Amino acid sequence: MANRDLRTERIQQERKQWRKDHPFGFYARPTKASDGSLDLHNWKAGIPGKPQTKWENATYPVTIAFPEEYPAKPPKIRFPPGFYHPNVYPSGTICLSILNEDQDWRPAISLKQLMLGIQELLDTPNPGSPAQEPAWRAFEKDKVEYEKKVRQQAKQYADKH
Amino acid sequence: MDCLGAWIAYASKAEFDSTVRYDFTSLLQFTIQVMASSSSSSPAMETLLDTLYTNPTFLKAETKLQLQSLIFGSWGSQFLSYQSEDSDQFARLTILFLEPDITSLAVKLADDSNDDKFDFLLRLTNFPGTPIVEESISNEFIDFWMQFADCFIEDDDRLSTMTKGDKLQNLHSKSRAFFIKVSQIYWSKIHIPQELEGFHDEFRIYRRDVGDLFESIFPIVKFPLYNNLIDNVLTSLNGTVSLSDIEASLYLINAIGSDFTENNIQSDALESVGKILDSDYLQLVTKQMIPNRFQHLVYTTVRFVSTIDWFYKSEKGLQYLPSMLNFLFDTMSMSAYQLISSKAISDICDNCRSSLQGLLPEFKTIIEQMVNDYTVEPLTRERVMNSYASIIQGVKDPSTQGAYLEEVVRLLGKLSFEVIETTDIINSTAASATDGTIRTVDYLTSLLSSLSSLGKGMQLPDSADEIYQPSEIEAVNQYWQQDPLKIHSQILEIINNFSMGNPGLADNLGVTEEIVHIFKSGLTETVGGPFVFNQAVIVQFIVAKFHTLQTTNTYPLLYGLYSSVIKAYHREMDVESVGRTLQIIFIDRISIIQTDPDIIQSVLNLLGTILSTRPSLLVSNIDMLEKVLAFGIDQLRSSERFVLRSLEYFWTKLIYLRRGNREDTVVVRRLFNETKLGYLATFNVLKYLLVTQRSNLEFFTEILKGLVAKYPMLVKGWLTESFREINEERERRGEKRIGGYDVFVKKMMISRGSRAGNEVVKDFWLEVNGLIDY
Repeated sequence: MANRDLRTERIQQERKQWRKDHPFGFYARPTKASDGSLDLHNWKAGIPGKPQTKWENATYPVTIAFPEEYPAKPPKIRFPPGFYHPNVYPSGTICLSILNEDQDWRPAISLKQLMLGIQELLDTPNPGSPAQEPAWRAFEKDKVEYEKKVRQQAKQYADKH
Repeated sequence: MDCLGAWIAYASKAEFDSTVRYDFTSLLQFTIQVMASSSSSSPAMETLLDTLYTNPTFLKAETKLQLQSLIFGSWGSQFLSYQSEDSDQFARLTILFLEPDITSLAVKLADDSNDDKFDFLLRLTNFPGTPIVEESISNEFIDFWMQFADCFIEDDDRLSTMTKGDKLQNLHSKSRAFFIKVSQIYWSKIHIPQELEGFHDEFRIYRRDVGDLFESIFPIVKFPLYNNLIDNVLTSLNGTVSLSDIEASLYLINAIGSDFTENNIQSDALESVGKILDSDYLQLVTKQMIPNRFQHLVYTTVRFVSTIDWFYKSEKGLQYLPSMLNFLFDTMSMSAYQLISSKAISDICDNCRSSLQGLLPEFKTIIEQMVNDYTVEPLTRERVMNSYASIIQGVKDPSTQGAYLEEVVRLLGKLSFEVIETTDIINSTAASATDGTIRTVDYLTSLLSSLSSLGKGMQLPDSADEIYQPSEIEAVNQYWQQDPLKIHSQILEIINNFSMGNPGLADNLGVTEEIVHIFKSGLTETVGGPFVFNQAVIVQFIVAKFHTLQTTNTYPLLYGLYSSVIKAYHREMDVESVGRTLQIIFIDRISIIQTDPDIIQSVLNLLGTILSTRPSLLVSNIDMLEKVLAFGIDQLRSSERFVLRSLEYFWTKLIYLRRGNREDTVVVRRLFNETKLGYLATFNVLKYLLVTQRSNLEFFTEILKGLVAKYPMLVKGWLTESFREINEERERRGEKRIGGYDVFVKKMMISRGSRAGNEVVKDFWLEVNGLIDY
């Protein structure tokens, strides 16, 4: 019970902080049940590709699930299944050290830092932590093919209007 | 003021770090006075802003009252009338002042004596000027109003406690009326201004945030909010048409409607949407389209058509599908809308395939345009093709399906053949390739991916029994067996044309990927179909590819395809043909394979697939099995994570042999019991486990656990003998011997291959490598 309260309180705090100060082009908000009530523990968010990269002109959707042990444990952030990136598992789960409780996750890490960290990861994949074969293989061996696929994906999530 | 600002920052930190408390009341009251009396109030206002941002508890009750009377008094009103930086600062001050106690503010709405305060906030929100370009106050207030709305949804219990009796009812009805006013302000604010140069992105985000605000308001105002917007569209259509009003309303309708589903929609919302579509709105938008110019109205209308899936899934909405699709077809002729229109078409067709058969002739025209036009985005082409196929799939009669499909397959074949014949596409991936060549290859690849989209769209959306009667299944199977229009052979001809004839395409990764998709689209089908091929045909293709490929780029894709064939058709495959295929695609190329971890990994996955579906295809061919096992042992030295994961898959499938028959089990047991296989596997697993990095430990551990679980009588000897050998090797290299391994062996034996073995292995690995588990 105590854990759950702590989680909700921290999420409320994050929400407030996010509203006050979030990076341009990003969005993050709790999902809604059919009666209009908010599900604070499950959010949807969007991460824009950095300008002047092959990820630009698109906002990539993610879901954020805050586990009961949050902030002791990190939120689970996922792109849609099949998202093309060397560090994203086929299920969409992101392989990033700040999202891993055994690695660099710290309870003090804010939602804003996580979102910016994921945005950074988009254009600077870590080939040392491959999470899916197609994108990793193309990134390592065939950059032209890799970039073509990334641009195609950007069109799928295009947000220019 | 600067000095006070510094003290505030200091005191806030000091209060946080200690029990000391500071009272700034007199200083803050003085600041408020300065702000109110000075002609230049900005520095004092900045100090108050900093205070509220840093620690709002520094403002005691009397200070708050003082500030409140200023904000809502004549001093505050002066900021409403002229535009200046001070007004922005004032709006921020107002928001920061009200935010900490926003629930109390919500309660005040019930009391009519506070109406003027709320009116003031509305007027401030409705600050004159175009948002972003000329004013930023309305933008600042979006989050504030969202928080305010949340109070009525999330803090309902608190509101009930704080408000008694009739007042609560009054509060709810006033809140609905109040948010309607908020929505009216933002409705006018999001109109697209004439001049937006340099602010496009910011304005787009502003509109998106307003959309979020409407989503937040919707649970309070409910459907009247939606219906107001619809009415606004209808009024605009009936009176003097204001396209920008319509666009703004539709934009917000889209924002609110994104959360609607067919289960939570109310009938009056269905009626309302029906009214829009009954009017000549879609024709009006079509008439407004100007070639080569992006128009928000068209874009927003396309979004509207694509987000009302709950509408066209209803009985009422079904009748409007043709007009909606025809509108989308019209927008497809303009490149600016192709991506979003194709997405809308694809969504609609996916959901309503069986109701759209009457539109197939219109689709055919669009398909021909999309396929012939070089400039169409590949994604658009694929989406439309997929939609077309999903409607064709909904036609139950196979000969009608065949007739439509034949035309499009013939067109794809004809075009791709012509382009391949007339273009020099050799070395298209080389750095020296011209832009023209790259574009041609992209176009060709897109034609092929259109074919694979056709295959994907033709997949049955449900199990065959749900879709067809038994007699219909028979008719479908018979039709595709006879294939009177030769669709199978036309598809194979296209594949052949791409993959065998032209060296520039044959080794191209993208081309092979699409061909693999084409074959895979039929593999999971349980009844005959245009993309359902005999397994021998696919295997023949794979073998032919291995004979002709100049590079190894596409090997992993072909191994993946063969794995899928095995999964789908293992029952009708025989040991000899699998052996022959493995000889060509694996054994004959083993020296090349061993040079590339990607290929090793895909081969191991293929072998693991055979062992996990029908092991006898491999186990009964003892010559082949021995070669495979030698390869499997050799690869244990790998440090590549993907290779090790596939190795774990391969070895555990072999050790446990869950799908094996009695004969398979006898063969494998004999190999482990009577040959050196058990020892060699144990020795190599141990040897490389001890030197691997921690993140790879799990793969070796699983194999070791498998050996302990399945061969408990022998594994102790294999382990002990392996440690002896490993220690001798270490001694020869001048390294320290591994001590205490007998304890490890005992612990592993006690674990019996259970999960407890993970800890045993990890602890031993840490000990041998002189590490501590933090």
